[in-house]
Amino acid sequence: CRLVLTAVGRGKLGLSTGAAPAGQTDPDMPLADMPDPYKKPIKKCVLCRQDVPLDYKNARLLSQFVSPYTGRIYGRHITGLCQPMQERVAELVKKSQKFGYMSQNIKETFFLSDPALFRNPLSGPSVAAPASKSSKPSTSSTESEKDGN
Amino acid sequence: PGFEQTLILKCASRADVAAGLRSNLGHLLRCGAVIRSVDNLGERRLPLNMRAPVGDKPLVGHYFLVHFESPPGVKDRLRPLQRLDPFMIRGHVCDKTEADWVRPCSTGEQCKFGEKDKPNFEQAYAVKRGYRHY
Repeated sequence: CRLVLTAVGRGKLGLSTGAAPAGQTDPDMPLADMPDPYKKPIKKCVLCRQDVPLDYKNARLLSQFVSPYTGRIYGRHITGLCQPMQERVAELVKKSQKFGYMSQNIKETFFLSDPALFRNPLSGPSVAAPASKSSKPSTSSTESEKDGN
Repeated sequence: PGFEQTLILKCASRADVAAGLRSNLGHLLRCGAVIRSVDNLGERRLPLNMRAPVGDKPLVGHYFLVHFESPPGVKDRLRPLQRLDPFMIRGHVCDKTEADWVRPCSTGEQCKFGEKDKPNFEQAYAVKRGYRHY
């Protein structure tokens, strides 16, 4: 078979065998326009992922990032937000407090039952892990004991 | 440019709230504002201890949101008028340009979680101190 110089995408020269006409890509050759398979997915914080609109009048949303005990804004290591969003939330909480929508020292009691976006900073990291792991074996063991008895 | 004012008025009676709203909107008009709309956010328990400029410390306030357009120096012009207002608790004004804030990650970039822009900053910008000849 005769080696023919053919252009393989974007002007790169490649060697291909046989009578493949110029312009048609050889299936054995790598694709020039293939997307990077090892590219990591874009990591986004909670607010960016859901595209949540922030407003200083929305005290309920901003209160989710505030401590129910002291009314202080939680740090980025607790909320898990990215840097610009954390700054924006802090800015809006301060504004909301100034304008009279939010308190500075407490979190409103009717916001306390709102779902938590992050784990409670006062409880350790072992809160979630043992419950999920030990739930299944414990129930099965108790059932077997009951059946046995 | 557009502004919005969160007006908190004292709750005595319906007539008093109406009078308060009328007087405060009058202040805005005197400052050269064009009032677009007034939203009634209702009567709420005040979330913090607020001291009214005139009178007792109230526990409940009637919230209004006033959308208006005016020249830029409206806050300075409004302050002396609000100082001696007997109906108002708070009446802060905010620019509407806040709504133009765009997320940095909306352009397709990754969210910044505190990664350093210059990871080798200390190595690159360290000052080399050696033996000095005095």
